[in-house]
Amino acid sequence: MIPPRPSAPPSLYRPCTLLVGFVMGLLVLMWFGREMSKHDWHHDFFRFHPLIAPESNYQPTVAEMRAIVRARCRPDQILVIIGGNSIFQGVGQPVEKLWTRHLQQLLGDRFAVVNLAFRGSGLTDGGAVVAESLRDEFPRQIYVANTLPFNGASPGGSHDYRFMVLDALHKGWLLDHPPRNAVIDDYINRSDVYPRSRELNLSARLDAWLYFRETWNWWSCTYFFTFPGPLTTNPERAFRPRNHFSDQENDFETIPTSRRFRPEVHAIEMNITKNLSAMYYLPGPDGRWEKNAFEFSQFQKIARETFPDALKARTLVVLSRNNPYYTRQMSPVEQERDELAYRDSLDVWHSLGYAAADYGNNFQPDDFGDRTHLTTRGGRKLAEQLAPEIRSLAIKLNFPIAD
Amino acid sequence: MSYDALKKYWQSLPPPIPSVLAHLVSFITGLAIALIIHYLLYRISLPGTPFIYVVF
Repeated sequence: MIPPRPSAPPSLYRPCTLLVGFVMGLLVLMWFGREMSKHDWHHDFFRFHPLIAPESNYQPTVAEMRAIVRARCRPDQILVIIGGNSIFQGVGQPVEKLWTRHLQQLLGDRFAVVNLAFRGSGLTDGGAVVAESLRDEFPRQIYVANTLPFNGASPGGSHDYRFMVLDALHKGWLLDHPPRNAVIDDYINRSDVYPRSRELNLSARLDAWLYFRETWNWWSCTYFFTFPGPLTTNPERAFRPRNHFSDQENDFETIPTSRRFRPEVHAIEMNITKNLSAMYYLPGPDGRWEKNAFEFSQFQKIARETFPDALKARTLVVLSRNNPYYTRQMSPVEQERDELAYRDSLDVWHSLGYAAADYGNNFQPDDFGDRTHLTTRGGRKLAEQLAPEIRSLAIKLNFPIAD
Repeated sequence: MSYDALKKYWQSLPPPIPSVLAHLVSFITGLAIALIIHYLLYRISLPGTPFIYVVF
């Protein structure tokens, strides 16, 4: 006789219902991420300070930055997006004295200036991606970013900020630009050189459907951040919503000059300063500098491919100069070589259809907080130098700048 | 409440309550799995070590 089977434990498991719950959950989160991507949740935004930037494991999405722009630029204004590196981001300038705020005052209400520069980023990162993605929505736009002489940029963005290009690319917001496609293909196919490149590309592809970055970035900014990072090791800070952190940038002007130009880094800074243009020129037989033809042609090729042709005319490439505290310590021939580098680089950018300018040749050591970054005073000078350039470019592009 | 007591209680529930409860729990579990996977996809997309910016 078969013993009676013990009665089965009550089962709460219904596979079809669980699957329905799973699919519905994903659909709701996907919808929520898409909705959130349309709203600006950075209400006091003036720039990406370190607690809302990749330095602290926070990766702003392109949609998030587009929402920031939409909240700050009316359709009747000329959009001025600032990209580039920490110099343009305003390292060493407290947010209330940020140079882009002064630039906004100088340009007036016809323009809307949005600072989307990041520390260590290049011409084709953050701000460039956002500007390109908004080219149809804000056709009256000017993109301004800084670099050094003979420095183009990869059309696929720099390695640390490539996630932004992948993000916009998979969401279909970028132009078809074959040199950029080649860079991205190379990035994906050479995971030995670029660790996690396939994974990050797949992640961006999935995000274009599921919008998980928008959802969790919004959550991280609004409710709580979900894990500790190097800038937030203390538990009290680690889980605090990122929007609850204010922009706490140091003020270079409170640092005495002796500490700005520290003797222990003097040799390194001088070395960097002297090498700014060293590889691009060779001493000629008559004692004059001659262009290094190979390096020069390489730069021309890179600069030609940095941006799609359709975007070149509205791009203002700005060449940054080093602090005269260091450049004045170079020999006269080295200083002459640097001047040539600025002039020749500007010529190349102009010849390729970009707008280009440099700044810093009339700056004093006190305008800088270190070798490259500007104090508030230097930032004001930068704004005063760039405002007329931006106005001229707006006129050249037939944007209405008068009421 | 012991397991046996819970089982007895479960078996004493009139239909269709056990079935509705089972569907509800399965549905909420599905939602929770979706939420966890959504979050994990976000975490996986972040670099293992954040970008370190140094000014000297």
